[in-house]
Amino acid sequence: MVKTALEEFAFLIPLLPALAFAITFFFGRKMPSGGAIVPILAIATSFVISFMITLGLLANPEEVVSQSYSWFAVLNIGVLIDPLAAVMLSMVSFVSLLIHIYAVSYMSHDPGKARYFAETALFTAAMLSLILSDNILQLFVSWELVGLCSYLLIGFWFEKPSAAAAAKKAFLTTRIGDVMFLTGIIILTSDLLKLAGGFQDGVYLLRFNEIFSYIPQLSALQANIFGFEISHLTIITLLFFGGAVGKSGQFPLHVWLPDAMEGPTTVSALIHAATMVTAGVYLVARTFPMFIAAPDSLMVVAYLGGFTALFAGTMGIVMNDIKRVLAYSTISQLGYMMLGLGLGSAIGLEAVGISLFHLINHAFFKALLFLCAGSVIHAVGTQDMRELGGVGKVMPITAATMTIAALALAGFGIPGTSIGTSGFFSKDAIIEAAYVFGEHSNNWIPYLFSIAAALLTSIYIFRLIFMTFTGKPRSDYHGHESPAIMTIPLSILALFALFFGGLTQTGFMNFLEETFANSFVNLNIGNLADIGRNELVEAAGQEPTLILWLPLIVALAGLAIAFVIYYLRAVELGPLASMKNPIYKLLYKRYYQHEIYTEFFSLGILYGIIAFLTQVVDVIVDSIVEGIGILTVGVGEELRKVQTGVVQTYATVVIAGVSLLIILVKLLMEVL
Amino acid sequence: MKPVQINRPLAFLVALLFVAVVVTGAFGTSWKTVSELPENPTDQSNIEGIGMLIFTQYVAPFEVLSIVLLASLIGAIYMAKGEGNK
Amino acid sequence: MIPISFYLGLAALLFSIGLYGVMTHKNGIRMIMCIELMLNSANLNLVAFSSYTDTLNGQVFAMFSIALAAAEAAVGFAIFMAIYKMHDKINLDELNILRW
Repeated sequence: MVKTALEEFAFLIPLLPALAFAITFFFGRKMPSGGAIVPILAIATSFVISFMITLGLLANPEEVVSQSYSWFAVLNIGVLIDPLAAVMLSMVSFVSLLIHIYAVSYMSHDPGKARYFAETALFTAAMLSLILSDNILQLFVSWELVGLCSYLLIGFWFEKPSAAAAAKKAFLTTRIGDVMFLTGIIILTSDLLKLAGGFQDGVYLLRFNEIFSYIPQLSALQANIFGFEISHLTIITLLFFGGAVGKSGQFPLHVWLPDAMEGPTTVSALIHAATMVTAGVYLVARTFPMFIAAPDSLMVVAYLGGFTALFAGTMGIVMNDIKRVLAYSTISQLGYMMLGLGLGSAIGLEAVGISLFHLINHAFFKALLFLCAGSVIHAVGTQDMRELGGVGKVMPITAATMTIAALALAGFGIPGTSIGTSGFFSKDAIIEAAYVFGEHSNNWIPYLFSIAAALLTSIYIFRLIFMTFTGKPRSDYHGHESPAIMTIPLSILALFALFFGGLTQTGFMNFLEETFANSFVNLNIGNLADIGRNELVEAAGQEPTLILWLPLIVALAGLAIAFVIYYLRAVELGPLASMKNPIYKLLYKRYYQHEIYTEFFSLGILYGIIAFLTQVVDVIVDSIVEGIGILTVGVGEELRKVQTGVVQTYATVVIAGVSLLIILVKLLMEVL
Repeated sequence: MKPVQINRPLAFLVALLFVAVVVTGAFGTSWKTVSELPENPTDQSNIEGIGMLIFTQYVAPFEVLSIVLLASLIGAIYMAKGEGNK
Repeated sequence: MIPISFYLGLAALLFSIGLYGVMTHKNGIRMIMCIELMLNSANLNLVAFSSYTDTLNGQVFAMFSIALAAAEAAVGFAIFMAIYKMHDKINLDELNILRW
């Protein structure tokens, strides 16, 4: 039957883009348009396969695709497509396909476009493999590969020193997260080995269903750190979250995302809006049973996510570069997703549903925002918003789609109905969940964070729209509308941003809740939650109407503020928005993070220590090596005097040696 | 090429040491010998026996020895005549 | 009949005399003569063993050894001729180019 046949093809999903990478890498330069057609075909095929599998899963949620092959030693390589993976696969391949089509035109003038398409094909392959991996080690390998592709693509124009530095910064910052992730895996493996009594045949310890079956025992293991009793499970999940912090740009490892805008805009759209940065969220969602069974882990996730959302929002309102604003917006929305997952300590599996829903919607409208920004930059030639203005007259389609995306991001819609942009449904769901959480545990901090961040989101995105598209041009630029090959993906994404949320809202969340119920049959979320000392709310309950309408009110307030300041130019911001204002200066300089991280910590402390140690090592190693050399030469100088060159000496020595040898052997024989 | 001093006492000592080692070995070992020296009245110098052995059992070394002598003969004459005087 | 060890001791003594000569004399001709002495002591050893074990192999070996000693002495003298032509002397302690 069709579905069974489809299962056989599941492994093709990441394999086809990988083949496309190989082909484009070697032959791309000779092909027209830089060999773009090969990755596009490969990704289109992957999308078709993933979408069919998703449809199949929608019909029968129990029949997840789970294949596993022994790879080497005790490790396996496998495919696991349950509802969680299926929606992500479909989204990733779909968005990647649209962005590739867009990039055919965007990168048409670039001499390195074959390299670009090869690298994005590899990236897509790695991301897809990350999503459908069925054990944590394969996920980690794909994670690293995705990080590598991010480095390559951020530093795509590597002749620019700022781009090369940004690529290095991205790689090193995510590396810190990766080290934490790997440490978590190591601790997990050693614990599992202890619990399972060694590696057994046919049992792959690192597969997710195996890991989840050991959760009760894992949580019983306690470690004593600085006098605190911490469960091993908490340590492992916090380390996994550390990896997510790096990859998904949460505070404090978010510093690489704004700098990553040095890459081409399509790269920013693909990697830093829709796909790679969501890998961290996916990781937390995938290992959600572990998180919910670990005391306090979800609280950390929630707090950090909420704080990041607010923190990035405060910086987004003062940035002058279009892409920077969007970068901070991405960090902020990722904070929302983490917050959504963290709220699982109160609402259980629903958290996975709302967080993933926001992830998918965010992918659509954030990719759309970046592609529109790319369209503007491509046409106008500058990224600084202070030089733009009135672009809407020149580029109507781009302006319309970007406005739609902005409405989705700010979350406009009518509560209680199905009318609204998709961002409205997903962000609203998270804010409502934060309210439920606050009611339940009397902890209102996540809710406050999320509402404040919503206000700031609305302000900065409409500031961007008004400064760019309306009013009189602030500088001399020549613009034209982008070609159809660029505007068609924009329109498709705009349609999704508008309608996807309303159409699939509850269905989506229910679908995702089935994930853990059906693929891991022995999983009882209630039990796990008890282990984690998380009390789950039994029903969502009815929130007061004010709370339902508050996000919309806040979004409208932000729109109004931006309207007044930037459209009507009614309020003069001059003195406020200058460097003399200390608050503005603080925000503009991004809380001096560059100074703290790079100047003080890296260059000052680390580099100083390294320089000092190098000196010490130099002295030590040099003296050892030279000492050995001098020793050898000295011994040789003395020993060479044995060679006298006269035969008599040689004869003397030979006979003396023979005699002594005979005596020695005789003595030895006597002794023995 | 300056001459090198030859250490005579050391050479004497080494020779003495060598003699001591060998003589000790010779006198300390019990050799398997016949009790009576063989007497051969017809062939006092054993030349007939030696000749038989050379031409039957050791004929190959004999031939080789002849070649060796030939080679050393040619070589010695050639080198003693001097270079460039062929 | 005296034990064979006396013959062996005599051979050893001759050998060491020859050895002392090799180790001490400067002149190349004298060194060759001492080498001949060492060879002959070995021959004496061979013949003693041959006689005391009632075989003739040792005597055959000794004959071969004498022939080879002659050949080797011839070659040695030829070499000394060549050295003499080059350096005008055959003091072996001065021929030390392979020193150090």
